[in-house]
Amino acid sequence: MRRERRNPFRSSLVIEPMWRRVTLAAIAAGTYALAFMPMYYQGGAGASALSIFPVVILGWLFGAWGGLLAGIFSIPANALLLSAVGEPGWQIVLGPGVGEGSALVVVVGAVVGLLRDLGVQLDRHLTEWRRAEERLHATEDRYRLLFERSRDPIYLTTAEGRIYDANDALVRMFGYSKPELLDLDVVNLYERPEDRDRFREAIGEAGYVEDYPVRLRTKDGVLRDCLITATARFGPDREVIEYQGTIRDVTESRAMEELAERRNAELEEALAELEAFTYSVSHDLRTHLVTIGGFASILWSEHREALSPEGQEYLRRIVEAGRKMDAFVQDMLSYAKVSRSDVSLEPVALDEVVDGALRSLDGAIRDRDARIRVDGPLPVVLADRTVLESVVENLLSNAVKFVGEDATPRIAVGADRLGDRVRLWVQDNGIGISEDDLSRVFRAFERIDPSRFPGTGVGLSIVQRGAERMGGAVGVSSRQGEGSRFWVELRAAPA
Amino acid sequence: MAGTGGYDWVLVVEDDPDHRLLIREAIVRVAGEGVVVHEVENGVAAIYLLGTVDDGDGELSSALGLVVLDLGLPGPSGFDVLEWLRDQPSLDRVGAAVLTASENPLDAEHAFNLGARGYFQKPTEFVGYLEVFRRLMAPKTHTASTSTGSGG
Repeated sequence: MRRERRNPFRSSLVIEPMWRRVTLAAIAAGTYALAFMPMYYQGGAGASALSIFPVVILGWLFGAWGGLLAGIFSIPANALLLSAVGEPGWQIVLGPGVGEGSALVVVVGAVVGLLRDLGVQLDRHLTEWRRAEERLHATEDRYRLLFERSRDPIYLTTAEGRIYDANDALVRMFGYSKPELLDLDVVNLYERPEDRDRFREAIGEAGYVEDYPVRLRTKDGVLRDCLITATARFGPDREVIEYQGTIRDVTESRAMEELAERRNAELEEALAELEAFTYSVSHDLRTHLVTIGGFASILWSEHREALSPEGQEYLRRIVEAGRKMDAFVQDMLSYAKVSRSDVSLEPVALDEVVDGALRSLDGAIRDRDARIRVDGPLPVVLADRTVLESVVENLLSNAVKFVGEDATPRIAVGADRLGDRVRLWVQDNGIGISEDDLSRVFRAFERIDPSRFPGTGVGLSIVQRGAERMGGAVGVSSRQGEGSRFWVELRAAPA
Repeated sequence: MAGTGGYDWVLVVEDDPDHRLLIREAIVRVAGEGVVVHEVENGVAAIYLLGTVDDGDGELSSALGLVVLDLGLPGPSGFDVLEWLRDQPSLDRVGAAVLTASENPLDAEHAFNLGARGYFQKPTEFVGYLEVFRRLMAPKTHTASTSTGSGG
């Protein structure tokens, strides 16, 4: 805001527009001239007293300085005018009787101007005061609106807990009318009175609470789950004067959360049941397979000669199918076990696990004359030993298996440290995986090339499920015909 | 009696009659006719029969025997029988081994802790049974199938 200089002359400028001042000044001069003429013809001396009118007007128009100057200038002006019409000017205006009158004109002009200035000052102060008041009202109205229109319920209570202001949202939330609410002890809104005491304790410590969970009761007795964010106002002796806060009704969102949690639990239960089912089905399948395979193989080894060549061929097929089915059921059992068993993470040396896996794959490795290089020493990871053994064994057996028939499997095993995680990788020179098939390889029972490679398609699912159970991840990078690099990422054991 | 590990008898505790037959066939082929094979369907019968060893006039007339246990049995489980056996001081010369349809490393550990001499997954081929009993009948060793990797 531009600030006016405290000049009385300027101050009147603020009040009157220039054109009005000029007009009034012209009227004053005209009045004086018109009045002066008859006074002159009546004897002249009274003309000096007449100048009081224009001086008063000029004083009123231009303030104290204007009135003073107009009064002073009126003396020589009168003298000049009187001389001009042939009167002894100076002698009249300063002469006995008229001289005091001239001085009085000066004083009156100054006093009127001063009163004018005071009036202007007063007016300006009053205006400013009024404006300030308006601004204050406007601000107050804005905050009032903010308070009233807020969708969040807001309240103010005294230190004793009497509600002394509440907005519409709060009125709507609790179902009390506003007068009812303003008369209410806030303790009536709590599910249990002791909750109010707990709340006071909580807010008393820090002076505020944020999202303080509490259950409140509406007029109809319905309980709502709420979060209160509130502050206490303190007096000079740190005593609480009042509380103010907002209430957030989270009943619905909490119900949604609970629903989501319940659904999740149900899903997990269903999954666990499914896995338990897989396990028991696999177990039962195997029970019968033991019988079929057992007797078929006795037939084959001890009674084969009693059969015709055709019969022998059929029997051979049964024994072979039994073997395949056993491999399948075993894989299902392994998968179910990896999924089901309680996983307990402990430091496990990857060196030992890889050695163990290579030992149990000894037969397959010899069959394919596979060359395996381990870039040891491998780090220690946090894992479940049994699950990790399954994971590593499946990774390695995959690497040995999926190599073209003429090629010698060359496999490299190593581990990289990635922050607090360890990535164990197995690189092969196998058939590789096309980009389209990459997303499928970890899915259960997916087999990319069933005609060329025997198997159940469960191996990589075991790898993935096992890694998941241990809080890890799996991945593969591969190009068709250029081998694959499968990896499992696990947490490193703390040093 | 070479080839029988010195056992006079084998008690097969198995609820599946087909498996009982397979086991009997395997034992007979491995140990010959010198060893007596008894079969029961459940743990209660097994414990009853084992209780007659002390009398000396029951079916199991000698304390030198081997109990082959299935784990999943109607009534008391294979583990219960193992535990009972462990708590009988007079039967400390009776060995026990588990033969189950689906192996589980935790089960294996539990079985060995209860004093089992072996823990095997039932093979789906007869040669597998022969292998199991050749190992079990070998004198006084704790054994397990190689596939479990959890041998004692």
